Amino acid sequence: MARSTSLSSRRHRRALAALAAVPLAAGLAACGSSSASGSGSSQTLTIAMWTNPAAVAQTQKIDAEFEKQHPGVKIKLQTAPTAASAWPTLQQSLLSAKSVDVLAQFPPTPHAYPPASTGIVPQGTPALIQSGQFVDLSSQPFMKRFDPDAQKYAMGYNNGIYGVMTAEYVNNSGMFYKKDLLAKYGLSVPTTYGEFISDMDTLKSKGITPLYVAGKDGYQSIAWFGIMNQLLMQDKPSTDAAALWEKRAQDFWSGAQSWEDPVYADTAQRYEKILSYMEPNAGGVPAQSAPGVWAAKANDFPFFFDGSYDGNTIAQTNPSLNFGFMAMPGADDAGWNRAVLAPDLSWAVPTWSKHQQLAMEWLDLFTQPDNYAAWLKATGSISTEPSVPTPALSWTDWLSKNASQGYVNAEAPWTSTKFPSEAGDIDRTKMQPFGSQTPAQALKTSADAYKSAAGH
Amino acid sequence: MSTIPFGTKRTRRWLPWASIAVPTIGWLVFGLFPSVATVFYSFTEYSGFPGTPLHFCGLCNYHNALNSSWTDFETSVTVTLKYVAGVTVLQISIGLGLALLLRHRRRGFGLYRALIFMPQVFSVTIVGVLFSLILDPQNGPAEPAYHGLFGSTSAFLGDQTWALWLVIMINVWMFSGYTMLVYIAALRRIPPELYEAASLDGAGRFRTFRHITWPLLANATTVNVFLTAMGCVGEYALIRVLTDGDYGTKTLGMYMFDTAFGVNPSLGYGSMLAVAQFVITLVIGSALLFFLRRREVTL
Repeated sequence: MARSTSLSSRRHRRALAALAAVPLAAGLAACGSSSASGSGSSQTLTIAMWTNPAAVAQTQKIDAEFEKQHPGVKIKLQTAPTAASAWPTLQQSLLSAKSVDVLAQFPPTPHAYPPASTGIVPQGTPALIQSGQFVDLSSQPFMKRFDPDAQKYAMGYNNGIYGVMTAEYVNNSGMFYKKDLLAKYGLSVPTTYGEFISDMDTLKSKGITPLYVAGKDGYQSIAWFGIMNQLLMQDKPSTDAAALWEKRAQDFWSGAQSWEDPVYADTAQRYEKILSYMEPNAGGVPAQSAPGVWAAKANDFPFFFDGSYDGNTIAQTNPSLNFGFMAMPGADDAGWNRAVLAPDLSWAVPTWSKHQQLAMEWLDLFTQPDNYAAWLKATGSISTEPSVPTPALSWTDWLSKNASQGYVNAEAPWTSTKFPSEAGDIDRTKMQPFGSQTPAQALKTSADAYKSAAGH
Repeated sequence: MSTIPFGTKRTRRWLPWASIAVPTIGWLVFGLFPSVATVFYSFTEYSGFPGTPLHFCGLCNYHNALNSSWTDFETSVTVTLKYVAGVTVLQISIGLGLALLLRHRRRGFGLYRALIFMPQVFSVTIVGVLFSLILDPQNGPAEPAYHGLFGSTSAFLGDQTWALWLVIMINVWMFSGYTMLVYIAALRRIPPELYEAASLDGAGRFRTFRHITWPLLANATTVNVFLTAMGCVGEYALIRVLTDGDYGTKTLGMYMFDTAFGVNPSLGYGSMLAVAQFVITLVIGSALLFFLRRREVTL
């Protein structure tokens, strides 16, 4: 019995030793992997961006070129779609693990930093910038390729620029249209709100559903913000936009402006009227499939609210489709119906990145005019490098001519996570035609929510 | 001398402690610590990104939820309660109905039971994508069927009237097989003599069910109701895939996840919502256990 006990004890000891060795071995393996990635012979540069198939494919080409130029360096590109919070989740885990070297960001723009007197504590990207988590890129040589004012507006804070904005799209106000379908019914491309309604009336009378929108994912906001921007900016030069939005935020905060002001009532009325022509079940149309469906249905839905980032997807889905892109006409004067520009993909480098030098070299390669021109062509983005023209694609005729007259998008009034969600914006899923609220009720709900949160 | 099943006397002294230590450390690290941290973060305005300041603000998040953000909080709690009630009532009813139909050991019944249970093993993402495709009003098969039946159209998951009910139904479809199995196990434990006696006394099917089957399923009902309701209180994954919380489907779990890990994350406020969710779960769970246990005794 004693012998058996002793054997059993020995076995247990061996088993325990083996168990104890597992985490130890795992730890050592982790150390090995970490030191290998930090060594000069084999380094891994981790880049993360949200999924935009064309942008990802083009970025991979740049990565391949970078790896060729830097033997021993491997690039690990991590992507996640923006839908269903996949991208914020990936971003948060990469930042928490401090395991990313170049990170794509949506530019916060100045409105994300309300004055301290408001008591609003910035969250998300602005919090990262304020707490010094991103490298100030303003002195990097590649930044000379860009317009400093545009870069400062997108990723600036105090005197630094904490990312390089490489993409700009027309999102709000964006509208695709089928040229052949309009021509078939003898219609011209509308330039004013009245012409737009008249065109849609004609199309409806011919049994055509005029408008398509991915309402399941909230793309009706493109029409709302398009009209709102155009009405707020009427008669004003594009260069006034940033200052106007700043004043608007201040006015909302002080109570001088409210969601119940006539301009928002007008916006709501026009929005409701335009959407009365949309596909009746648009509330169930997902954004992911909408461009493909719209492209495939060449004989229906002459108009489609979507951002210019989907132009190439439409062209690839149905290469024979003769379509164009323009700013939807939400105002009564053709000159007021300008494109609303949205600063988009901006690359930031965390201050704790172990490969900052490589990250800067990668950004330099990415922004070199030839590479950047190819990237623009693949993605349909508006150029942010003055020396690289926005490429002319089959669907960008209007954009090439008019993008320069566009202006930056109106941001939401100053809010924080603690504000009711309806304070900063109307909940369009609750408002007609998607919900039961009348425009007046929806505006009142938002006005009351903002007043209560801002303490008016 | 008695045999020593666990090695020497010395080994026997420390081995049980070592065995307990592993799960205890696991629980402390992955259970208690995150829970305590959540309560702590709920008193801050922390963004959740390492390196950003904590901004300790006391009860500010709780104060906001009960004042300026009350509408959002109230709406999400209301949606959660509707969701919990809808899923629980439907899942218990359907699960029980299926159990009564398929409890016997007959040819082919095993296959039916397996088919009904199968959705439970699918991932939530697969189920969500599957139903998103079915309910796509442009290309899915549900729209023509709906149009044929009712002569009108619907946006389904993009419709304020239908979205929440559809999500409830999909959840029920996914998990009613589990409820059915629990009921079948309980049904098979009921002594057949009781049914024979009832039959001899002239009791019909309804009276037999009411006075024999239903009371003797009290324990199984407690288990099913409790597990279903508790599983639903924090639901967000299925809703995330199906509607992203739009069109009246934002439960407290969705609201919390969006706030803590969304586009502009605020872990502080999200932690407060998680604490609120915990309290609500505790209240619902305790109330259910109290009433269900009392019912078991009464029956």
